[in-house]
Amino acid sequence: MNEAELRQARTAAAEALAAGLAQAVPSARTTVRPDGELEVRVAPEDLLPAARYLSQAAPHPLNYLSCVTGVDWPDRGVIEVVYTLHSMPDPTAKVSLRTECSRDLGEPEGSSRPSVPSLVSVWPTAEFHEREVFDLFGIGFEGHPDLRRILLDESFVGHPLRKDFVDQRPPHRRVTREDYRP
Amino acid sequence: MHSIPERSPLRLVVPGVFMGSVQKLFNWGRKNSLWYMTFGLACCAIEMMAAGAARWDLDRFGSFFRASPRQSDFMFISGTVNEKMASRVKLLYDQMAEPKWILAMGACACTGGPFAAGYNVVPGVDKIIPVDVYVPGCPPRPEALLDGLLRLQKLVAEEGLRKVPRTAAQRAADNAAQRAADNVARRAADNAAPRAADSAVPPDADTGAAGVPRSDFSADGGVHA
Repeated sequence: MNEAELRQARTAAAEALAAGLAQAVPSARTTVRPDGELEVRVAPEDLLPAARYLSQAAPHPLNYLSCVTGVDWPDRGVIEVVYTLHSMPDPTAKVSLRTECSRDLGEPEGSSRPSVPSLVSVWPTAEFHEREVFDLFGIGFEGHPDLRRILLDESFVGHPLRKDFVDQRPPHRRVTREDYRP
Repeated sequence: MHSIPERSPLRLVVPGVFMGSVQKLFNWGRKNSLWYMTFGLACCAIEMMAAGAARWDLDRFGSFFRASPRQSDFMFISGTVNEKMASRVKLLYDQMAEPKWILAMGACACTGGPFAAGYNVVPGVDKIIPVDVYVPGCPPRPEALLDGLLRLQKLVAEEGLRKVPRTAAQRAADNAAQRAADNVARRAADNAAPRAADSAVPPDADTGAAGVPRSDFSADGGVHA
């Protein structure tokens, strides 16, 4: 199979998958990219049904969640959460499942937390991935069993992958033998 | 006649009699048995392992990996120190016995390197613990590390008998001694004061039931005991 044929096969499979998804979750908006990757956009309330459908889709269930990440859109006031899905039976399949939620942390900051449903019940691996998004973007995941920071220290202030993040650490000063205190 | 190494701090005075200072003798021993901690932070650690292994062989200089901070003389900080790791690095440093030295290996340990502006990066390990030798490079080659080790040896050879900072155990012992002295002083004061105050204390005060702390130096000389 040459490259063009492979692209054609992937596109056909993605279109079939999109048609199936449209039946299960009518509100989902789907796009097939030129390289045959399927892009699915859903509202947060439709995230779980869409994820369940994709994880069990015939003939090639998307049973491998390889990445969860976020995209900050300050001008639109939203953070997009992106789930990258693969299929063990069909290594050429790739789906990008996307949803959006507010980026507003309330006033004072941190008093409220926007959230999307957790997908741990669909793909158990989402547990660590969602903790990472929580850590770096400050997005909550409803139903997550253990939502706390994973990469940064518990004492860290802010969510550094937000575009308006400002490093508020005090300036570092060189320590010498004389002024070192254990 | 016996010969002694050219760089020895000892001087042959007459056959069989050597002279030298204790300080120089100690430093001579220390600089030729600098054991470093088995501790790597990032990619620099790979280069450190190469320097320690057969081809460059830090063993030639009496330097070995030592798997405990308690038995290490110095530590290569080999890689980026981030804010989460900083407290652990500091803890390891505090656990090492004096005298101890730190060699910052590579751009990250020296200044934060390419990650200096990162939100979670300590820009140079010398912001949390004192550093004695800096070896720049990304990563430094083992030859550069050997040069750093030799410079560290030079530092150690010139080390004075410096005052060692008090350890937590020493502080605890000092505090205990201070408390004992306070108790003795209080007992002396109680003996000098009228005994009327004693009758106000219920007999079971010693059990702590009345909220009076038990003291080994009680004014009545341990009658309750």
